Amino acid sequence: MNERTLELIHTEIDGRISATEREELRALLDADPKLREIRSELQKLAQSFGKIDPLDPPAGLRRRILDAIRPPAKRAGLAGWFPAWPMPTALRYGGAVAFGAAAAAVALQLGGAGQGTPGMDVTGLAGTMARYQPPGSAGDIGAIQLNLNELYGSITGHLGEGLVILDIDLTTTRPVAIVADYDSGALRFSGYAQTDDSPMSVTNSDHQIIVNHEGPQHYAVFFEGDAKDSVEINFRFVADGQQLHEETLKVPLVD
Amino acid sequence: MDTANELELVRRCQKGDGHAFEVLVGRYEKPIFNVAFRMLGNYDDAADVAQVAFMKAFENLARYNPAYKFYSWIYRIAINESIDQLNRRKRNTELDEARLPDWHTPEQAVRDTQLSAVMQEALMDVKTDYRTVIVLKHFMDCSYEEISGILDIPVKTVKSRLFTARQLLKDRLADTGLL
Repeated sequence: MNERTLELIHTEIDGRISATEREELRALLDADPKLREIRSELQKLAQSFGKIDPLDPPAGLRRRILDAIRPPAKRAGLAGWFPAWPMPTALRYGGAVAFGAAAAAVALQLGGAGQGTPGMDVTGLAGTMARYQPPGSAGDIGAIQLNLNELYGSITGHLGEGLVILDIDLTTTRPVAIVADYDSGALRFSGYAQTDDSPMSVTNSDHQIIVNHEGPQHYAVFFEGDAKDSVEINFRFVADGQQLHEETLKVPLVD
Repeated sequence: MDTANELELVRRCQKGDGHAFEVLVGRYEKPIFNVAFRMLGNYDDAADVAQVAFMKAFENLARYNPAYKFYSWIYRIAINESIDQLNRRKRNTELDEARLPDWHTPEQAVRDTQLSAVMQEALMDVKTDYRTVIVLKHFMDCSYEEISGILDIPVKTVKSRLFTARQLLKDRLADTGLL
């Protein structure tokens, strides 16, 4: 059986066979029982797809989608926070999550995920804040200093306008994954902004973000907070499947 | 819904009419979820990808080219998001075992027929390129030309991938008694 014969069978299955081709196929089938068997199996396969009913999406998916594109009014707080930040000189904005008209109006350079968007990779969506600077010491909520062989620098927390901002300024001497676990009932990942356009990969799941580090990197990660009290963000630093270090940042009451 | 109506809805969305987008979500929620599910084999991941696909569509409506059908555009977003999700799985497997693909949850077993489950398992066994054309052709009823437009590959490549994909699936399903 050659390629042409198989193509004829598939073309027939897809209803795209011409009269001439049908005749050609018929002659081939008449002469080859093995070919008839293959054709029969492929036909059954094609028919079996039609017997599979589409699945119903989970209840509430539509609500989740619509909530994500029309987020709580609270997110307008972002607009209040960011105008004080330098505007970018280079913009690599691929279309982040809608934060509402007010936030969009200040051209927020964020890769982001709306409420309940586990697994969203914001790689390539983040705006590059070429002159990004942390907002001074205002709203400082603590810092983690790291001075390991493989990893050194700081993670500083800031708080304001309902946002928890982690200013992460770290250098790694080999690939290190930072795994940050947080209480998704108290914090919602909102996105990140880089200080440069270096390759960066941030993965967000329901309760965890993972950032793959190599070399020096400086960026900010944003959360919306609903905490009535303090909440902890636990950081694990992992290289080659081995945990190098673990730290916890306690975030106080979110206003 | 015809193409003209759909285009009108998109135009209304572009002008900020949230209700128009809600109509589009209502129309495509199920197909997009099913595209993602067949690509990923995981119910929860499919829901997440569907959500992200709509969010990206909403964000990028200004870039939508009305020369193309809306469903082609949003299918393409969903396919790309699904592929990204599959890539993330590969990257994160070592870090978080809990995020490994799992399409045999008890709830899903109830929802899925045996045929659907067996087919899904076979689908997950073939390369993403092949799975993609099968999903678009046999689950979304797209023509060769539509698949070509969605994936931005020549029709000839669509046919070649589709034929190979069916051969592979046939071989994988041969021992299941399905064929």
